[in-house]
Amino acid sequence: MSSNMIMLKSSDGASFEIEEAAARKSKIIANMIEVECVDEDKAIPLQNVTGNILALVIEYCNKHIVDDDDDVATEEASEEEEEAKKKKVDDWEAEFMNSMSLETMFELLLAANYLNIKSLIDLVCQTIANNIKDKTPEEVRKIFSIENDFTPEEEEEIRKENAWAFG
Amino acid sequence: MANSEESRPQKKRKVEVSPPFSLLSSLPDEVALNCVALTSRWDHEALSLTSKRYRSLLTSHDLYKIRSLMGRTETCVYVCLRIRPVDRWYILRRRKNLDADLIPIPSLPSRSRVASSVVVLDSEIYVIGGSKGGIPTCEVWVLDCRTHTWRIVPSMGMARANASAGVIDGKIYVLGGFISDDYSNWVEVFDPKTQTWDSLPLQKELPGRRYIHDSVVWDQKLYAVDGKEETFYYSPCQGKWGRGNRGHLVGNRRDWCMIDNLLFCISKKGSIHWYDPKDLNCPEGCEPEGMYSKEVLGLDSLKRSLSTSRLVHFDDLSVALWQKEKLRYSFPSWAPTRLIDLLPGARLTNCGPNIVLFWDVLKGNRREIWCAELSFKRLAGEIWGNIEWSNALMNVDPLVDGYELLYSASVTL
Repeated sequence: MSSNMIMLKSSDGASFEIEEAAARKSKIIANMIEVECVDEDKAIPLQNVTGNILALVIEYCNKHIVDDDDDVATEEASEEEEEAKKKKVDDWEAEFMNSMSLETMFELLLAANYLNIKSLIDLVCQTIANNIKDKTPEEVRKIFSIENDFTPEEEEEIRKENAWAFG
Repeated sequence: MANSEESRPQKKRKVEVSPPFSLLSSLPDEVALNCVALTSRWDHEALSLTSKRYRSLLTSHDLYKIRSLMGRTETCVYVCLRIRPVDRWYILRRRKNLDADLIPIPSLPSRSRVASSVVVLDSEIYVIGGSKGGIPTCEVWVLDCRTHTWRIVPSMGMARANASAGVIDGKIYVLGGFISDDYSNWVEVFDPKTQTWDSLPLQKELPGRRYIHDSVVWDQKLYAVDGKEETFYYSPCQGKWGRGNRGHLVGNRRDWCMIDNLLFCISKKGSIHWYDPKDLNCPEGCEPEGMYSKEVLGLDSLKRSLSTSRLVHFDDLSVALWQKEKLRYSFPSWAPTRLIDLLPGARLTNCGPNIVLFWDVLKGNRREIWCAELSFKRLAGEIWGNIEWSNALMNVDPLVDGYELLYSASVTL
C-alpha cells in the first residue's frame, strides 16, 4: 500500500511511523496536518503521550483505518458480511482492551482524549463502565484506588437517600 | 519540550503512606462523566458513595443529557402499590440472571390519592389530581426520576379525578374528571416551561358525563376511553374534541398501551388484544363503530392467572357509578357483580418496545404479586407475544385488607 507516512514522537522521545490515514483518526493530528503543514521529515511531537501508550493508540488507529474505507463501500456488502465484520472488530476490541491493565486503560483514555479520537474514547469509557457494573462502593474504590473522603455521617446520609438502589 | 508531566506523581511507585494514585480521579471531569454516563443507573449509587467527586458528577445536570446523546438511556418502570394503609412508590429492578424485584423509593409526601392521572414528561412522572379521601383534588405532584425527589407544581384550575391526561408537543393536556355543566374548564394544559396551567374552552358541549378509564396519545390527539368503551379525543392543534370509534369487546378497555403504533389492552378473560389505532378515527358526521381487535397469540399460559388477578384498584367513585349503572343490567343472581370481579385486575404498562405486566396469584395461603415482560413479533398479520421473563415480586399477606396497584409508568432516562 502506498500512502503517506508520517512520524509521531512521544513525550519520552520514542518515534513512530504511521500511515497518514490512520493518524487522521485523531482530530488533533488531522488538524495539525491540515493547518500547520507538517514537515514530511519532521516528527509531530505529542507532549502528553508516552511511548508505550502511543504504541497502543497507533495499534488501535491502524486497526480502524480499514473500517473507514469500508464505510464508503458498504452499500453492496450484505447484512451478514456486515455483521461478521462488526463481530470481528468487536472481538479485536475486546481482546485489545483485555490485554491491558486498568492503569494503562486510564492512560490510554487520557491520550485518546488529548488526541481527540472519539471512537477510542467511547471504547475505553465503556470498558471502564463495565468494570463498575454490579460493584459495591467498596469494590469500586478498591478497583480504581479511590480515596473515600466522606465522613461516616455523610456516607450514612447518602446511603439513606439512595436506599432504593441498594434494595 | 514541556516537562510539566514530570511533576506528576509516579504511578508505578509503591506507596505506603501517601494516598494511592487514583485512576478515576486522573480523568478530567468531562471524560469521567462520559464513563459514568455509560454505567447503568443501578451502579450510580455505589459510584456516588465512592467519593465526593463522584457524587458531584452523578448529580450533574449533564449526566442524563450525555446518556441521551450517547443513546445509552435505560427504561425504568415505576409503580405505586397500595398495601393498606400505605401507598408506596417502587422502581422495578431488572437484572440479568436475577429475579426482578420492587425497590421502594420515596413516596408522595402528601396524603395519598387514588384516581389520579399519571403521565410521563421527559424524566419526570406527573401525578395529576385524583381523589383524596373521596374528595377530588387539583394538586399536581412531580417525581423527578433522576433524583427520586418529589415536588409540588402549580395546581390545575379544576379538581379532577379519573381524568384523561397525555403529553402532546411537550405539554400536558388534561380532560374531564369532574361533573359540571360548565365546559369552560373541561380541558386544561400545563406548559412545563412557564409552569402554568391554562384552560382551553371547547366549542361544543360534550356528550354527557364521562368516566374515563384510560387515555392514549395518537396522531397528536389525546384519546380517552370511558367506562362504556366509547372513545373521544381532544386535538390541541385543531382546538376541538370529537368522538372516536368504540372498543370492540366488552371488558377490553383496561390499560391501553401504545407500542410501535399499535394499541394494546387487556380483556376481562385475561387475554391481551391489539388494535390498529387508525381505527380510532371516526370521520366527522359518522356514527362511531366498533373497532376490530385481535388477540395477541402465544400467551395462553398467562390467561388464567391474569383473569383471576385482583391487583387493580377501583376508586369509590367508580364503584359508586357502577353500582348505579348496574341496575340497568339484569345479572343472574349467582353472577358476580363487583367491578373487581368483572374486570381483570392485571395491569399493563408500556416499557420501551415491550409491555410489563403485573398481576397477583393465590398460592396456598398467601398471595404473590407477579410481573412479566412481554415482547411482540408481527407474523403474517398476527401479533405473537413472548414472555421475556416473569417472576414473583413479593408476597402479600392475604389477610391484609387490600393491596392494589394504583399507578404504573415507565420513564426513559
